Formats: sequence, structure tokens, C-alpha cells
Amino acid sequence: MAPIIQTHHLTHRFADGTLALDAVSLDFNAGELTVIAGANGSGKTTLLRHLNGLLMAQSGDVRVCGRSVRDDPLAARQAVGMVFQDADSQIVGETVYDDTAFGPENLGLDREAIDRRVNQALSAVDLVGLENKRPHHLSGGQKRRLAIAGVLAMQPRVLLMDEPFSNLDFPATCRVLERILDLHRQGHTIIITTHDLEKVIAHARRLVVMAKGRVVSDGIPEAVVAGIAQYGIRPPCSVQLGKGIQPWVS
Amino acid sequence: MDSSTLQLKRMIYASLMAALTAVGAYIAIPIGPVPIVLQNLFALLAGLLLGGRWGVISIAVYLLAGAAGLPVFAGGTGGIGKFVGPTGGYLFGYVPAVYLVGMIAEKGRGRVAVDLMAMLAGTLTIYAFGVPWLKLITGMTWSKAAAVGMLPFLIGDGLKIAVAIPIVRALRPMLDGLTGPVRVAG
Amino acid sequence: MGELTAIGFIPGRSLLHRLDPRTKQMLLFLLGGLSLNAGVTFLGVVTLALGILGRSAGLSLGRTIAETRYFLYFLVFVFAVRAVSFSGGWIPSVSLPALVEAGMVCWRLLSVVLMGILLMASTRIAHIRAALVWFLRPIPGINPRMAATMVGLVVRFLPLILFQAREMSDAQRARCIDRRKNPLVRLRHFTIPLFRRVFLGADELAAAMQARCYSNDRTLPALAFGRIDAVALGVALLLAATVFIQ
Repeated sequence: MAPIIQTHHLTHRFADGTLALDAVSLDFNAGELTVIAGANGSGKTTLLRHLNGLLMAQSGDVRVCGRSVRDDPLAARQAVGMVFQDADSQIVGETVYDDTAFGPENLGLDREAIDRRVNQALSAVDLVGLENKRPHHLSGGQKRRLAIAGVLAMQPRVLLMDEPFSNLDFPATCRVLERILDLHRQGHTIIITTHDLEKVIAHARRLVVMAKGRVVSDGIPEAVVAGIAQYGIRPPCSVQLGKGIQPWVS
Repeated sequence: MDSSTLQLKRMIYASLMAALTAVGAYIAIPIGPVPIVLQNLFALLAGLLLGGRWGVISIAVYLLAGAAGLPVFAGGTGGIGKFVGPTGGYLFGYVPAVYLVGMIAEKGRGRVAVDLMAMLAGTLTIYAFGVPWLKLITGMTWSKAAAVGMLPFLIGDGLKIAVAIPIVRALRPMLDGLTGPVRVAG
Repeated sequence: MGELTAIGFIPGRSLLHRLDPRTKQMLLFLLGGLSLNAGVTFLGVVTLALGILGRSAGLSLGRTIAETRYFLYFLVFVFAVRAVSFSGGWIPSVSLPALVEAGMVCWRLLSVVLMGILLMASTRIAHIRAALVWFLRPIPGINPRMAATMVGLVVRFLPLILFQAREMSDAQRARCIDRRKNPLVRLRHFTIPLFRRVFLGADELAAAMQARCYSNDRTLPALAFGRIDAVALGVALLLAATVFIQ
């Protein structure tokens, strides 16, 4: 089967001359859960923003489902949903319902279809019953899950998540992680960026390491994790204690 | 950056400026005996920062939100009643005032004297609409209307005009940078 | 709007809740406008109706008073200014007609504000927005959907910005900004970081909206103008007619 997302020699330079992405070539297969790890400034977020056409390749190419993102950014954004690092700046709606409906409303669906999608998305992240709540009144974990619901309602094939566990307490992290794993089991392709491998690495079958805009290591986590400290990423505790990779939630 | 992205960004700036104006209606900075409400400062800053056209759009969105009944006016009130109420003139006055400020400031290209003049003109325009309206609605005499609706605020207005200058000098470069090429972290 | 005013939408199925938002806004315009030079009878009927409708919509008197207290202070002020006159030099004088007149002015203003509160309590924000689009459609030169989206963003970001403003001012107080007596310094230290933070967030927001395929051609909440709307408008028009007959 052809990869669902392909980047080919993707290069991006910021206006100030910094090289953010340097000839990145990666293939992502449907149904995979991939973790992209890297220190701050390694180019993770810039890479994600190319995968759904928020940034356009300056040189090189990004293909989603075989089609170039440049030719049809709207289709790419529909197929590839993105959950941002800061839920507060991502949530657009005045209520939980409004925010979840924002994407489907943009697609111009009729009200019945929108309601159905909102219900599905909210139940997938355990937020049913909070439809009339204001996002500002939700807890940090609820906000993160709402951000995920807002993307799920678009019914994307791929979910990109930028640091999905930042600023969450332990129970909230567990709930978000459980929901992500559920979505993975249901067949979603998921790509997570993080500088904190601890929480998610045991559930991924692939780990990509980035440094200074380049892919420096790519493979199964057990193999990649050994030399990871040199790129500014802390290996999981269990690895440091010599016990291999252990799941964070049971 | 393509034109639709630029349009979306301008739209978001104008919306956020409108939200900031609403925040200004809630926040009073305690300075001396009379707390200074920041609403009119923020409204005029919309003109200085966004220019005439988008400044007016921003203030129109703010008034529209209020007219639709959302609690964006001083003291957490909203609704069409505020427009026909005694302080309605100040609200109407924001539209020409912000336009004036924006147009003058655009001509000035960041010169301090021009920005000062723009703020002064804007402040006077707000009173030019607010005080006659107050007189009309409450039936006060001219001198009473001015004594209630203008004199107590003049010192605060002077402060606000003075502070608007360093504020725009600090923020303009950032706004110009943001509507330029995108830079993301990570 | 959260902690700003507790009087946001109260879910329910009362008569007011079932009215079309467009009807409610038309009633607000019509009756609000007329209230401002209405007599005792009209104001009495309107106030009574507002009381009954508010009660059935789940609005309690205590909360309404608590939420409008700033406005009530203002009313007291207007009342004082109107009732007291200095016609005979520096000694204030109060006359009965002036008192009555001042009372009427305050009653009018109060009834208009109450109408606004009832609208907020019984209408979802999404519906207020949809009604807005409908009203703006005939006006040339305005893109109603864009206007509605912008109003929606204001509603969404107002509590967030207010929260950031409080957090920032707390952080500055923790570093003893209170010791700075120069008001210009304090205004600057308050405004510049707040604006900077808000506008930097705007960049992220633009990307997030694009990631969810933002377009101006969006599906709006469905509005339905039914029989009760026609009845309500009819009653309001009749009531309005009485003002002119008097």
C-alpha cells in the first residue's frame, strides 16, 4: 500500500535565514502511530505544518494520499487534522458544541450531518454532556480533548498532535493518552511530536528523531532510543534503569 | 503569504482589537482618586495600530457584538439599550473617532507628532458625539452635560494620549512583522 | 461570559427560549426604542411582562440586581442630577415634579437594560450570531458571515484576554508595581505586554482556523420563524400602537 503522507527533500528556510527543515524525506503509512522527537527548535512543528499545507514547501514536495499539498491544500487539511500545542489559541467556538462544529461548518455540511459528527467526536473524547459549556471554563485536560474533538469532527485520516501532553497533570495526561490510543486502535494514522518520550513511546512502533532540521534517526523505538540523549532528548526512565521501554499507563 | 491568509490575519487582529476594547471596558486601573477605564484608549489604539479601514471594522464589530446583546460594554452590560441610553453618543462617536485616528496616523507613517494629533482629534470626536447625546437623552443643560460627561475625564484622557505613543511605538514593529513571513517555533 | 457576568445563557424551554432570536431582537429594538419616551402605562405593562417572562426563563431577581449593580449606581447618579436643581443660586432645591420626572427617566433606562438581560439569558450565542447575519444581509458593503465570525471571535476571546490581563497584573503586583506612582509607567507596563501577548496568539489562531478549513461560506444554525413569533410580534405592535394613541 502507498504511504498516506510522503515528504520528499522537504526544505524550509525562515525569513531570517535559519534553516528550519533540511531535505527531510519521510513516508508515513496508514494506521501507524509515529512519534517524532526533538529538542526545542529542531523543526518538529515546522514539519507538521507542512503536512497539512499551513506552510508550503520552498523546495521539495509533500504528498497526502498521493496528491501534492501545493495543488490542493484544502483537501490536505481535511485529510490531515492537526491538534496544536496550545489548546487555548486553537479553540475558536464560544461553546464546546460551537467549537466542535467549527470544522464541519466550514465544510458547508448540513445541520443534521454536523450534529452527528459533533456527537461522535465528543463521545470519542468523553466530553458528552458539556456541549453548552464555555471552553474557558474547562480544565486543561478537557480543553486538550476538546481540541482533539474539533479535529475529529472533520473526519481526517491522519491526526497530527503537537506536544499533546504539555501542561497536563497526571490524570489528565492518562485520559488524553487513553483517547489517543483508542483512536489508534480504530485505525487512525497518528503522528505525535514531543520532546518528552516517557508518556507515549511504549505505544509507538516507530520513532523519528530530529535535530537542527534534519532527520537524524528513524526506526523502531527500541533501536533508536539508545543513542537519543546526544540530540537533547531525555531517554525514558525505564530505559535509563535498564528495563527497556515500559508502558506509561497499563 | 497569500492574500487569503493575510485577509484572515487582518480579520483576526480586528476581532482581537475589538475584544481588547471590550476588556478595556471591564478594567479600571486605580490611579489617584478616579480609576481610569481603558475602553476609549483601546478603541483609539485600534485606529493607530490597524489603520483607518480595519480600525473602523474592529470598532464596528465591537459595537455589533454589543448591539446583539453581548455584555461587552462598561459594567458588563450590552444590548441596544446602551445605544439609545444616555452614554450611547460615546459609542457612536467611536466610529468616526477611530476612522479619523486611523487616517491621520496612516498619513504620518509613525511620526510622533502626527500620532499625538490623531489621538487628540479622536478623543475630541468622541466627546463631540457623546456630550450632545447625553444632553438630548437626559434633558440636562449644556453646562451640566459637560460637567458630568466630559470634565471629570479630561485628566485621564491626557494620560491616555501620552501613553498611547510609547504603546504604538512598541507594538507597530511587531504587527508589521506578523503580517510578514511566518516563523514558527519547534 | 463566565465570571464577567453570571447572566449568560440559561438552558430552558420557556416562552422566551422558544422565540426565534430574530423576533427577540426585533422586540428589543421596537420596545426598547419606544420605552425611552413612554408614559407610565406603557412602562408598567412592559415591566410586568418582563418580570413574568424573566421568571419563567429561570432568572432570579436577586441575581439580576447583583449583576446590574454598576448600572444601578449609574441610575442613582442620573436620578440625583435630574432631581436636584441649583436654580436659586448655590442652595440645592428639590421639587415634586422634578422627582417624578427623574424617576421616569430612570425607569425607562432600567426597562431597556432588563430587556437586554432577558435576551442574553434566553438565547444561545450561536443563535444571536445567526440572527445577526440575517439582519446584516440586506446592508450593502458588509459581508454578514465575516461580521458574524468576528463577533464570535470576540465572544470567544474576551474571557481569555481578561484572564491573561488579571494574571499579568497579579504578576506585576507580585513584583511591587504598586510602588510606582507614575500613572504613565503603570499604564505602559499593563498595556504593552497584554497587547503583545494577544497579537502573538493571533498568529497561532490564524493557523488553527486554516487547519480546520476556515471559509466564509459556513453552515449557520438553522432559525425558524414560527406561529408564536408572529403572535409575539403582533402583541408588541399593538402595545407600540398604544403609545401613539395616547
